[in-house]
Amino acid sequence: MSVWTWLKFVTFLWLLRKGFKLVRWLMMAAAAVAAWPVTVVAGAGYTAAWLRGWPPVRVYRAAAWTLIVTAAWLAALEASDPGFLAAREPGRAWGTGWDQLTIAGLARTFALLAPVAVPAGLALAGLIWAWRIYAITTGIGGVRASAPIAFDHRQWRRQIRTAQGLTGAPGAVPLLARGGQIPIGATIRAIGHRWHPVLSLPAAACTRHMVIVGATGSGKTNLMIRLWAGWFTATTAAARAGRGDRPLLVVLDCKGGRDARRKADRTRRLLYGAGARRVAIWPDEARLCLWDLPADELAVLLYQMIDSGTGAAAYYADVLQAVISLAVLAPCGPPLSAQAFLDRLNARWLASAWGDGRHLAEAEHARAAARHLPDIELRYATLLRRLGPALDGPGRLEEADAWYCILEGTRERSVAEAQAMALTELAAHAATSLDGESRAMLLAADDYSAVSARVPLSNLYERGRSLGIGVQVSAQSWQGLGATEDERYRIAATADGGVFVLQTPHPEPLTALAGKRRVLETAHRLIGGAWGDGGTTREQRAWTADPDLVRRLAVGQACYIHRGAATFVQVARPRPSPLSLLPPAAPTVAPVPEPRSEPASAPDPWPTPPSLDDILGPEGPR
Amino acid sequence: MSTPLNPFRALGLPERPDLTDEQVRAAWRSIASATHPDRPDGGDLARYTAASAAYAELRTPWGRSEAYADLAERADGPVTSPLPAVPGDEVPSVPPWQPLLALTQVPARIRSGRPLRLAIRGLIAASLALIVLQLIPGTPAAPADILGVILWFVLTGRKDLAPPPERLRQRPPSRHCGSARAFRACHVSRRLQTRAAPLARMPAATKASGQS
Repeated sequence: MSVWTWLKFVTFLWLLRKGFKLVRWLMMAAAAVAAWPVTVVAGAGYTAAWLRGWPPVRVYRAAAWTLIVTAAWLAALEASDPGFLAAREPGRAWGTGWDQLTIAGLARTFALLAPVAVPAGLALAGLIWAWRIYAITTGIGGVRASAPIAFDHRQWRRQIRTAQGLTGAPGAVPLLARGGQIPIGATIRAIGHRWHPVLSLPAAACTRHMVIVGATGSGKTNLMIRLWAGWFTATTAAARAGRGDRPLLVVLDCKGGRDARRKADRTRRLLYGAGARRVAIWPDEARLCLWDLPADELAVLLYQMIDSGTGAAAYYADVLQAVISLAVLAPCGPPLSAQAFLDRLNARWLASAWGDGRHLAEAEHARAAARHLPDIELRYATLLRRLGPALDGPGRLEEADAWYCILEGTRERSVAEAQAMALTELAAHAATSLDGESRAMLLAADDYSAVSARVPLSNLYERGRSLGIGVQVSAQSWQGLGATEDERYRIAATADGGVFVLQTPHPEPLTALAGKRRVLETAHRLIGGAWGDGGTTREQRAWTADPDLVRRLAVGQACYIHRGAATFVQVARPRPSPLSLLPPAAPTVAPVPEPRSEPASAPDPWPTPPSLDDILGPEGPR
Repeated sequence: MSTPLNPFRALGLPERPDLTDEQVRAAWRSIASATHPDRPDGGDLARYTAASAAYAELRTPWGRSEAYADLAERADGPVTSPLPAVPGDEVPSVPPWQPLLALTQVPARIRSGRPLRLAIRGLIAASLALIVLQLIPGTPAAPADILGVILWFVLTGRKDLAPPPERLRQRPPSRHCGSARAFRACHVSRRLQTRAAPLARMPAATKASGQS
């Protein structure tokens, strides 16, 4: 074969290939023009999906909804012209449409064919959009090598814009959805999870263990309050329908400070809107009674609340434990207040309590520990004084629908740790107590890292699981979850209710929980500066929850990781339905008077400025 | 049993849980100095007594939030409803006509949502329906197209409505307390008893210092 023949052969092959391609395009164009109503709808659907960052499933669902129109049209057709001949109607309408190529004529043809063209067009749009995404992400589509990156970046921005628009709609993300689902916010992108416009979690997810990690100002509080209010609303609704117990929400705000008070007020308003009757804020407005605990649990707790040390101090720890047991488990019953407990740390009291002749061993122990009692009494007096009166009663967790407990973990860490221990113990007691009404309980610890040195989170989780309490824990970072890497992994890996990751600088250990997914990666052969025809495609592994995406999350955006899949979500600010609130106050209500000390000039019947002390006496209400 | 007095109204205060101690105290002082029975003109004993009772109830933030919640429970407006039952009460079941009641809330949901957007959607839907009727009157496609337009309006417009209230309107179970009024009286008295128990246990020092 000569060179000239070879060249002719190669050119012929090239022309043949291009010819086939051209014919294919022409056929497609002819089909598109012929089925123009379907093409119009498909184009509109594709453009909408592209502009709004919808996944193909969103377009398929729209197509499915429009099948109702098709069904109605078929029913109307059957009613007007019974029999199979009516099936010729669309073809006839399409045929006559070509005789009237005016705007009115085209509009008329489109209206006649819409019941068929709209579902078909939307389904076609979904297919084309799915193909486009596939082609770009696998690298077989696009003009430039950077096409997959640019496409993903653009779609991410559009998905966020769409999610923010949906979140802003008043009725899109209520506190409670149908089926007891808790809506969290508008879905930005779902990888592995089934896509829904609004990410909703079943209320049961909150009754398991959930971890929330996000830096300060990332929207963690909004997310947590939404989860609390949603869980509360769902559980209340289930209780009303006779499908479960009434809810009891216990929130430990472990950081404290002024922000905590604002959060508490917001939570309370929201819970009132959601149907709560009593929301107690501890220790500002309500108290609890530590001394209501069963005697043996109280003894263990009191022992744990004191830092007893290890090594050489173990001797002292044993003595301390023995003394506490003697004081609390005395035959006359456990102490009923802090003062009663301190009164018992006295050699004479212990000797008298155990000196009935039937407890010889305990009486001997009391005698042996006598020389340590002043020290122990001093330590507990100091601790209980620092804890304040808020744990000295009266009050029980069961008396309210929700408790917002503020622990000053930033200001007084050791006190907050002791309080956290006591409160978790009270919650555990409330969950297991058999003498009261059974309650569905959620224990939420916000910024628990502030107090976690004495009560490791993993312990809290394990206790919660064994007691049937949902435990929800938040931290500002991966490191804040626990003291050691082992503990952090234990906490994150056992979060079977899911993990929410908000903007945080080191999300890798958490995003790794979602695992990796299989993706296709195409390499193109370059000829000069352009892509050639050759190349290879191979299977690769990519993050399901991309840590770089998590790192770039804006305020209010979160990544929900659950069962090896991830959903990025724009969290909606929790607001109660305006219809839950009271109607506006009647116009007859007088304005709030300004505080004043005394009137400037006394009215005539009152010769001197009116003083309530004169009227009510010094003991009167102020 | 008559309906309990509204403590906010007795002190001339707006019905809000976020009032400050100072506002409540100022309102109480103002009424007390004007109505006290020791005044030369005899004062107004009934009003003074009502204001005193209201002040005792509203003097702490906890008390105010409780009173506010009570008001929400008692409110008889079309969009409010009773709160959950007190501990020990039987949890009332959701009545079967609940979905019908939800329909009555639609006007309020429109008002509290995005009525303008909803109106624009409605206008578009109505225009499309009119165009269809103009173009293809009497054909089987016309009702189907109009159904499609209505479907679009309902599916896209529902997010412009305010969400339905989280508190469901409940009717009292008649076998407990008979009429609705009697049930409410029963309910309030039980609530007061339940609340009185922890208050009774509260040390006097706490009461005097205004903490609860």
